[in-house]
Amino acid sequence: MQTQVLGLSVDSVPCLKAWADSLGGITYPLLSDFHPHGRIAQAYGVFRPDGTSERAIFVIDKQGVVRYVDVHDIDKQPDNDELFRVLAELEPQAVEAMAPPAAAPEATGGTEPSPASAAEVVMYCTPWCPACRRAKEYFYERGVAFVEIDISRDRGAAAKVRGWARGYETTPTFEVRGQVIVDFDRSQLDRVLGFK
Amino acid sequence: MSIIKGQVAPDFSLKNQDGVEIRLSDYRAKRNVVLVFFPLAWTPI
Repeated sequence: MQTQVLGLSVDSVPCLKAWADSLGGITYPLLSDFHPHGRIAQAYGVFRPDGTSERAIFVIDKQGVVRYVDVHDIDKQPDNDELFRVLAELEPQAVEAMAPPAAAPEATGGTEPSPASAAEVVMYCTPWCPACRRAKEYFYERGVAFVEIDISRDRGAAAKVRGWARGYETTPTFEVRGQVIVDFDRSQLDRVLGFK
Repeated sequence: MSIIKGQVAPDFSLKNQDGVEIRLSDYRAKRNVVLVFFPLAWTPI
């Protein structure tokens, strides 16, 4: 994957964490431009007098140069076609990587259709597990996109983990390209992800 | 007036939702970056 999406707002870290969790986990970083408030939004010229930022998209190429700017009305969604066109120019494979984040799981009941089934890396975790935090850092460091599923809330996913981990709800447990890895095992992840 | 096309993107280092510091220039020479500003959490990205 050649394109990294970074979300950015003037919210605090705990707020972004709560929001990301409420979305059922999100595959890209949400950055907190909270203190000093809106400093980066100001640097990019998209800070608003009401203390929030504009809804804006900047595409930055590998040389650090801005290649596309879209500041759009706060009530409007961005023009994705135009964005994809720019990305396709920069990197023909990039468009694939821009697939929208996993939508919040639908509350259909019964066996859940995993929102993450299409994702390459799925991490089953709980909000309180320290190894899950280390695993996330591991993914961020390597630039690996992942989908996070909180098994304390998604009991269908918890049952899957019990099936893999001999009845235990071991976290984190990973599903990487169809392979299951129980517990945070760096060397196994490195191997499956092709870092070794 | 926002940054315009052709300008060098101002570098920054900010914490993500997990408190991990992310620096824009870490992606230099590695990946294109799509920077998405949104007004506030709980609004559509």
